[in-house]
Amino acid sequence: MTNPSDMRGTDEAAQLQAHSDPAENPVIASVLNDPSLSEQDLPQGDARAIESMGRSELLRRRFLRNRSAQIGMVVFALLVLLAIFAPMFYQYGPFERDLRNALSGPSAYHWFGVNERGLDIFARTMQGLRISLVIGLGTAVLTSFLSVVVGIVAGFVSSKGRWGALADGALVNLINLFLVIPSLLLLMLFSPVLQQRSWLWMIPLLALFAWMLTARVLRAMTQQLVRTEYVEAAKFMGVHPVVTMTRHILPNIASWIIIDTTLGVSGAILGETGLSFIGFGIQYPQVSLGTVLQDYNISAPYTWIPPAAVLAALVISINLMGEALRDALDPTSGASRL
Amino acid sequence: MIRFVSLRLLTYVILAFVATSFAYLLAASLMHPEEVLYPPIATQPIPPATAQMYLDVRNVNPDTPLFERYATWLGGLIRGDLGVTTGTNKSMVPVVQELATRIPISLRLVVLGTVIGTVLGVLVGMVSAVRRNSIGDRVSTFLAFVLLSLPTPVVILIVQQTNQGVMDLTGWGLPAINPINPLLAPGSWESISYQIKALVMPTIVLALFAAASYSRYMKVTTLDVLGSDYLRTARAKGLTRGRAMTKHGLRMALIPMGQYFAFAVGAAFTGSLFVELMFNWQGIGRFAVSSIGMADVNGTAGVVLYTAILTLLSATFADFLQGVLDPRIR
Repeated sequence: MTNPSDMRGTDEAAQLQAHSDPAENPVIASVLNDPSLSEQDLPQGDARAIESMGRSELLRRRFLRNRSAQIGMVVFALLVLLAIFAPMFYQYGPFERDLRNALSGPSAYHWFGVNERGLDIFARTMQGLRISLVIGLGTAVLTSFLSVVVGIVAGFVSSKGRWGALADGALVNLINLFLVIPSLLLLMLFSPVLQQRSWLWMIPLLALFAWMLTARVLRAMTQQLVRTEYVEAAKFMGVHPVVTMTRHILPNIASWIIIDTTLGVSGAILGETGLSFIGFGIQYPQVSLGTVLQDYNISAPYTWIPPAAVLAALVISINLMGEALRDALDPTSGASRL
Repeated sequence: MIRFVSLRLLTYVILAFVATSFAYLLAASLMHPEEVLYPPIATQPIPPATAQMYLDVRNVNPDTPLFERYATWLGGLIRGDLGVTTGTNKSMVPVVQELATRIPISLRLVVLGTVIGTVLGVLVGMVSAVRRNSIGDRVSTFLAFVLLSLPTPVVILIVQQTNQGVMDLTGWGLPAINPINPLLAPGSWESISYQIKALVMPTIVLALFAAASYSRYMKVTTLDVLGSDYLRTARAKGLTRGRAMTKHGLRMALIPMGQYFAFAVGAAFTGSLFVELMFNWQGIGRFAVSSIGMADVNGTAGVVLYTAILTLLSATFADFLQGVLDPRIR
C-alpha cells in the first residue's frame, strides 16, 4: 500500500489479491490461458518496441545516432585495419634503409617519403601505430582497473569507523603524493631500465602514473553510494563487503568508468608518444609514433606531417567516441531523446 | 583563513619532501654513475683508493649503503647544497649553481605561458558559455578539442613550420632556436629585442595548451553558474547581463578553477620540457633530460626538488586564490 490516501485495511488487500489471483478467480485464469489473447496478436508497432527497450539498447541507439561517434568509429576502425594489415603487405620494413632515396618526398615506392636516415616513413608510421594502439588500449584498461580498486576501496571504507577513515586518509594521501610527483621525470627514470626487458613494460609504467584523478572521482561517487538505502540494506542483511562493492556499487559507477577508459586510451597514447619523442620511451627493436616524429626535419615537412596526422586522427577519433559515449550516458545532455 | 592556508601549506611541504626523497632514492638505486665514470678501456689501472675518493666526493659510491648516501644528501639539502653533477658530466658543477642559471630561463616560459593561457582560457570559456551555440563558441570548442588531442611536439612543429613558411615567403620570421643570440652584445637593444622575439613562439605553444584546457573547464563551471538563482536575482534587480556576469557570475565560476591551477603549472613544466628541447633553450627541462640520460643522480634529484617546489607554490597560490574568491572559506 504505497499510496498514503489509500485507507483500506489488510483484509481488503487479501480480498483484492484473491480476486486477481488466476488460481482463485476463474475469469482471470481463462483470459490468461486463452491463446487468442496472447502477445502475438498485439500490434508490432514502435510504441511496443520502445516500451520494452533496455538500458543498453537505449545507450547503443543514442551512441550510434551521434554524428561524431560515427565519424570516430569509422576513422578508428580504418586505423586499426591499417595497423594490422599495412605492415604485412608493404614492401619496406621500419628499419630497412634506402639511402639512395634519403630525404625524398612521397612517391609510388615510398608512400610517405623517406627520412634523412633513409628509413621509409610509411612503414615506420604503421609499425608505430601498432605499438601505440597496443600501449594505449592496454594502459587504459590497466589504469581503469587501478583507479576502480583504489577509488572504490577508499570510498567504501571511509565510513567504516576509525580504522576505515584512517585507511581512506592513507589512500587519499597516496593519490595526492602521486599527483605531486613529477610523473614525467619518474617515467624517464624507470622507462630505460624496463625497456631493456620488454617494450610491454610501458603499459604498467604509464598506468602507474595515470590512475589518480579517476580514483579521486570514483572515491567521491562511492562515498555517495554507500549512504543509499540499498547499500545499507545489503549491509544489514550480512552481505559480504566485496559482494556489495561488485554488485551494488560497481554497476552504478560503470558509466563513468567506461567513459574514462575510452578517454584514457588517447591520454596513454599521448603520454607514450611524448616519452618516446624525447628518447625515453619505446627503444630500438620497436618503433612508436613518437620515435617516428623524432626524425622531424623542418625543411622537409613530409618527414613529420604524415605521422603527426595519423597520430592526430587516432587520438581525435578516440576522443570523439569518448565524448559521444559521455553524451549518451548523461541524461541531461541533448542526446537523451530517443 | 591563515589557519586554512598554513595547514594546507604544511601538507604540501610534507608531500613535496616525500616526493623528492622518493625520487632521490629511485634515482640513486636505478642509475649507476660508477659504470660510466670509469670505462673499462682506461689505459692504466686506477688505484682503488683514487676510485673510491672519486665516487665519494660525488656521493655516488655504490659501496656506501643507499640510505647513508640519502642521509648525506639530506644533510646537504638542509645546508642548501644539492651536491655536484655526476655521471658522464665530470665537471663537478654544484647542482645549485646549475639550477640557478637555468631556472630563470625556464621560469619565464612557464610563468608567461601559464598566465597568458589562464587569462585567455577563462575569457574564451566564459564567452563561449554565455553565447552558447554561437559560431564563436563552436569554433573555440572545436579548436580546444583538436588542440588537446595533439601531443606537445606536434603543436610545436606546427608553430615552427608556420614560422618557417612565413619566413620563406616574406623573408621575415621569428628566431626558431636559442633564446639568446650570442653574437649580439649583451644589454644592447638588439640583444633584448632578439630575446623578446625568441620568447614569442614558445610562449604561444604553452599558452595555447593552457588556454585549451582552461576554456573547457571554464565553460562547464560558467554553465553551472548561469542557471543559478543568484544570477537571476542580480538580473531581476536591474543589472545588465554583462554586469551581472562579471560582478557575480565570474567570481563563482572561478572558484572551482582555482584547483586546476596547480595542475596547470605542472603541465606547463612538462610542456616547457618539450619546448626547451625543440627550441634549444638551456633551461631546466633540458637539464632534466640530459641529467637522466647521463646518470646524474644529484642533478635529477635537484630537478625533482625544483618541480616539487613549483607545484607546491602553485598549489598554495591556488588555495590562496580560492580563499580570496570564496567567502565561505574565510
